[in-house]
Amino acid sequence: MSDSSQPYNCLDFERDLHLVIGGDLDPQAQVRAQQHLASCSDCEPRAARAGDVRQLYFEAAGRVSGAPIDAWPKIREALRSEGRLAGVPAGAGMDRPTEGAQAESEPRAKRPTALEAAALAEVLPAREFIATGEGASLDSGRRPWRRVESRAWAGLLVGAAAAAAVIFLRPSGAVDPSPNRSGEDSSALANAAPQAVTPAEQQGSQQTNSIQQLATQQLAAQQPITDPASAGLRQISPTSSAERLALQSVLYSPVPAPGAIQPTGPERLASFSTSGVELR
Amino acid sequence: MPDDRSLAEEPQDASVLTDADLIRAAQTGAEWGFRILVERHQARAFRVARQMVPDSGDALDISQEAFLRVFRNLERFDPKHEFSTWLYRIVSNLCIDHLRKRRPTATGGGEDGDDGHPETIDTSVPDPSAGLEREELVARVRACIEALPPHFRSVLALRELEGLPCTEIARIVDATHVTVRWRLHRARKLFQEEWERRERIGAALSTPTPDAGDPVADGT
Repeated sequence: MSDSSQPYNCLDFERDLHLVIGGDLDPQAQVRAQQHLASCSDCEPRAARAGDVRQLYFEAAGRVSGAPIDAWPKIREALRSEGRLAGVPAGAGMDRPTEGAQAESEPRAKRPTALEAAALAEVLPAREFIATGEGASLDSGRRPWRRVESRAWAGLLVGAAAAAAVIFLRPSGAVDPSPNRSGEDSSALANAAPQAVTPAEQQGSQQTNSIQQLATQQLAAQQPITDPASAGLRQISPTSSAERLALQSVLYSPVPAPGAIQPTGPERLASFSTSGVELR
Repeated sequence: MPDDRSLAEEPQDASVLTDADLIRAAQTGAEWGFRILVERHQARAFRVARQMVPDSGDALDISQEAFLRVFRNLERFDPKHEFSTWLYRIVSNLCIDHLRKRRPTATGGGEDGDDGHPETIDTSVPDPSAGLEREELVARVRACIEALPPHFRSVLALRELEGLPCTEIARIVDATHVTVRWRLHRARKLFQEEWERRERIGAALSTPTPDAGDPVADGT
């Protein structure tokens, strides 16, 4: 680090000091610095101090031992998960997989069947389901909106199929008992040409229709719908006055459901006793 | 050098195998090749990382990540170079990246720079007080190390602790050996200056001022 033709002085030594103490100078420069050090009383304590601090670093930093924990088990797990070990397929043993491997190994969320999708669409109508994002909590998959959308479509398809089945089977004047089905689809199917039915089929369809009506009335009595739009339901467009009347009776029927329990007798008195008279 | 057929099974005496032999075995997927490479170099990789990052847990993570990066690119390994050079380079770069991402502290890493991980200090000394003094000394040295820029820390650790020559360090840190020597010189100088600065501060704090008498004893 210095010109060998010039005399080596204390300034040169101070410049090279931290390389001299580690023997990191060129051999020729190292010899010159050592010669100067041996003959200079001013530079000797500086070199001794620098050497002491260097020794301090070596001892203190070197006192930190080697790897405190064997690194191999974790490295092995990662290599196994990446399939880099012979005879071990990728993905085996993934205690701490890499990000990509983790994505592949993530358990896939169970996709709903068509029936589950229809049931889900009935519980939470499609528009509300999508708008409120409640599907995200029901489906913890990575792309919940796509699954929500597929469930909504599946619900609509199943609804249309059910409406078509009801319209083909019912006698005229009955109404589609499922108010959240597509009204357009129902009306389109209702305009189709009537088909000839046998007496047995007609009887069966009448029984089916009466059961459906009963179920609808029970549903209306238990869960009165005051505003179909606010509940996320689509408005049904009745095609005839009979259907309109039937629809009104379904949605706004004041008649309680026949299955509802009305308290009578002592049971009723006990239930509604507010006068403080103790009944025995 | 073992042939390809013998690479499937671990030899009884693996100490005779060079790193290049182990890399060839690892390139075929032989688990023992990976394992022995890790066993040979993990202590040094951790030691270098430990001198650069303040937390021993981070140092362990970095050394493990360095091995994984090496193993993922084994097919690109040039046998003309040392495996350790490649590994140290990755360790050093990971440490520098880690320090860049790390939220800077007000003190630049003080004496409490370690954030909770148990330090593995050799405290096998009979006198407990001597052990405590030694731990305190280690902590003070670490504080001075953390005051150094990362490029200086790596050069200092590779030279002082691993004993690598400047030409080898130059290959690891991807610099000329002149640059490495300059960094080494600056690192030692800065370390000494930081150490002496802290010594002066400590001496000033421990020295009572003349007018700071005990008010009770003075009757005030």
